[in-house]
Parts: sequence; C-alpha cells; structure tokens
Amino acid sequence: MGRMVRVDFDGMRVTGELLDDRAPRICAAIWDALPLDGQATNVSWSGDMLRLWVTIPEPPEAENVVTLQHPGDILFIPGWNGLRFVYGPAQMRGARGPHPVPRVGRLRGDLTEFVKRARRVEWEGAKQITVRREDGR
Amino acid sequence: MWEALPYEDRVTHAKWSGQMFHTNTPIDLPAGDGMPPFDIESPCAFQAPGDVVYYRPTREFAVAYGDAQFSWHTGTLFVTPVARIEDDLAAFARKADELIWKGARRFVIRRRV
Repeated sequence: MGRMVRVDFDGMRVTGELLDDRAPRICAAIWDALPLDGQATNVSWSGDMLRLWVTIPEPPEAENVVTLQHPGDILFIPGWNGLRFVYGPAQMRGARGPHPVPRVGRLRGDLTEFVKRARRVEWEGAKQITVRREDGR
Repeated sequence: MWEALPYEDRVTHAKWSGQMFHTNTPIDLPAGDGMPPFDIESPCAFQAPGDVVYYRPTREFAVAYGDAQFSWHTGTLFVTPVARIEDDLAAFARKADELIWKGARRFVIRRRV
C-alpha cells in the first residue's frame, strides 16, 4: 500500500493513495512537496479532469506512464507540472492528440460528492485544492 | 441562424476541444440531408481561430479562439461552420481564456446594424 494523502476541495475531503510501488521517484517528489495548495481548473483538451496549478520539483524520468486514465486517477505531467485529478470520462490529450502520462495516485472511497463538485468548476470557475499528508502535514 | 438572432446564452469553456467555448441552451437550426455524420451542411472537422460552428446533435454553437478541434470523448466531431469573427481576436481570446478560471459568462450573437 502506498502513502496516503488527503485532498481538500470545495468544502469536502477525499483520501488518496500514492502509487509508490509503480512511480517511486515521482511519488517521492510529490510527498516531499506536500502540502500542495493551489487553484484547480478544468482542462481544455482532456475531458473530466481537474488541473491543480502548483509547482513540484520535477523528477528525472517519467514512471508508470499510461495512455488510458480512469475516474479517481491522480496524474503528474512531466514538463507541465502540477497534478491532475480525473473525475469522469477523460484522456490526457493536447492539440497533437493523446498524451501518455504518469499515473501517480488514486483517490479512494466514494467519489460521488467529489465528482459533483468537480463538475461545477466548468460553470463556477477555479476552486482551491489542498493536498496534505494523511497526518495533516 | 439569421432568423434566430439575437441569441443569448451562458457559455462555458470546452473540456475536450482546446481553445474553444460553447453555448449551453439548445437552439434548433434546420437539419441537412444524408447519412450521419454527413447529414449536416458543410460538415467540417477542423476549425481556425475565429470560427463559429454549430453542432446539430446537441444544438449548440461553439467558437474557436485558438488551437481547437470540436471533439468529445469519442473523438473529433463534424460541425457546420456558420460564421467567422473577422476582427482582431487578441482581446477576444484573452476574455475567452478567462472562462477556464472564472466560469460561465454571458454571450450574445446579434445582427450587425
């Protein structure tokens, strides 16, 4: 089991697990950068996905790169920085097509309320997301 | 479209199509003939900045303000080009990009008099 984080978003909290076994260097960089606090917007090419605009020192190589993403996935995009949270149908894409990316974590538990609030971002604009270690640090 | 003007709605930024925003209140415009997906007027899969397009299945307009291609999770979709913004797009594009950060905004298309 990977290290656990808590994600505060729009007045609610969900738990996430870092995939330390599959993306050890990236997860370590994220863990060391916690707490991460910033604004989240919806992406413009990739569907139901939030982008958290924060800076994480970039690891030297991509790990656990996936072409298909699923609701609950936490992604790190080398060269773009920040984190992505998938909350529905989504695939990381750009103007040049699909863009394989490292899957670095998973949100755990019932995501119904998270999804409901994430869908509002398109209409209401950017919302704050804070990612902390499970113990609050 | 001309007959339906003025048209006013709240627009939101595209989630699959790049630098593009779209309307959310369906508007009925005449359909074309033929077999899907070519049963619309002038089916087109590419947009340039300033293009205004109509997507019949959801009866919405979309406006490209930069790199954009009208798409959904199924991939690129055919749309009908219905207008082109001919003025300088720079200020317009800055405003459109703010939709990502600020959320839905008012949008009006009316006849130029």
